[in-house]
Parts: sequence; structure tokens; C-alpha cells
Amino acid sequence: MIKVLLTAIAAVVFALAGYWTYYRCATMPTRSMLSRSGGEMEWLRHEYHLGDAQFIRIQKLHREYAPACDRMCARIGEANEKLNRLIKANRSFTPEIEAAVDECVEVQAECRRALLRHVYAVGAEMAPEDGTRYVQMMTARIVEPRLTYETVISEPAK
Amino acid sequence: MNNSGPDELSVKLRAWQVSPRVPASFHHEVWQRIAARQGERELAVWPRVTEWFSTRFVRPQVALGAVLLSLSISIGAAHLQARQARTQHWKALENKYAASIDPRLMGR
Repeated sequence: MIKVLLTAIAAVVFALAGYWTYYRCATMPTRSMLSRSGGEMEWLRHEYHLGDAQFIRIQKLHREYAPACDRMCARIGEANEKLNRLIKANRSFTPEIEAAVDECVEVQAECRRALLRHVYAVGAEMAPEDGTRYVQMMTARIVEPRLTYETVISEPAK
Repeated sequence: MNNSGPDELSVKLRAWQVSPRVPASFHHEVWQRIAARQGERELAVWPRVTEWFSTRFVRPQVALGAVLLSLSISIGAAHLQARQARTQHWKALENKYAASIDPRLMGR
């Protein structure tokens, strides 16, 4: 009976050790990409099969775009905050609120334009098939997939 | 020892009659005993199972087979789980990349 128990314990221990080791090894590359800074660029490199030269050029584009992106992020934050402040302070739709809404829309539109320019520039550095796939993936996010014609316009109106 | 002759013994044996009396609860007791034996036999299944395992698993080949089987099953399960986790990580990296270049997503 002791031998049976030992066999069962050995089977369980080996099973747990095997599971843990395999899982850790199999998920190690993606976990490390997720945890370290710049992991998203490594993802881009793998997902779109970038060669060294392509990757260097795209990294350069990314570095050049980053400060403009940060500035736009700050402007979006400021415009949203201003609009929120005015909405809380007023009990009716005032010209100030209208101006703040226009400013939000303008900042968002500017941001979209800059983002699209960057996306096309990055896509142009990739192989044609990968570039098309990349632009499609990014534009699907930029156009807000939940607000497409199919989902927003009701059936009778179509 | 008995001094009476064999003839006298034969006569006595021939004349001896046995008239057994069956108690009223005889049938009931018999069935009770049968039921008790059957119960014991059913209870004995578990020892038989453990005996079966103990006789099989003491063989090194069978024990090794059991360990290898459990290892294979666990690695198979780990493979499926890891595939799912990798897909999730990949999607998270895609989102991270998109957020790194989209100012509208940065603050979220």
C-alpha cells in the first residue's frame, strides 16, 4: 500500500512540475515583452515580420512622433478638463461651452490627422502585405469600430 | 468400557429414532444469515480494489507508466493554457502599442 501511495505522490509531483515548467517556458517570451518597457515595439517587429533595417527606421519614426504625441495628449486632457469645468459651472448651453466643445473636436481631429500620417509612414516601411495589414489594424482603432455605419444607423433609416 | 456386546449395540442403534424439531424462526434465521453474508461480500469490494491496485502498482513498469501518463496529461493541459495565455498577451501587446501612438488612448 505504501508503494501505491508513493507512486501516486510521484505522479502528482511530476504532473505539477511538468505543468509549471512547460507553462513558464511557453509563455516566457510574451510575458517578458509585456513586462519590459518597449515590449510593444518588439511585438510590432514580430507581428509584422520587420527586418533590422526596417525596424530601425520605424523606431526612428516612433521616436520623432513621440514628443508630438505627448503634446497632443496634454492638449486633449486640457480641452476635456476645460469642457468638464464649464459644464459643471453652467446650468445652460453657453457660448463658452460651445467654444470648448469646438476646441475638443478640433484637438481630436488634429490628433487623428497626425496619427494617420504616422500610421501610413510606418506602414510604408513594411513589406506591402504587412503594411496593408498594419494600416487596417490601426485605422480600425482610429475610426472607433463601435461607431461604424452598420452599428449606429438603425435598420429603417438605412 | 462398555461391557454390553455388539449385538445389544446393534439392536439399540436400530431402535434409536431421531425426531428433529425445526424451530419456528428457522426460515427467518436462514434468510438473515444469507443477507448478512451478502452484505459482507459487498463490503469486501473496496479491499479487493485496493488489493488490485497494490498488486499492479508495485510493478516498476506500471508505476513508471502511471507517472508518465500523468506527466503527459499535465503537459497537454499546460500547452492549451499557454496557447490561450500567449493569445491574450499578444492582444495586450497590440493594445499597448496602439496606446503608445494614440494620444486619445494614452490617458485611459
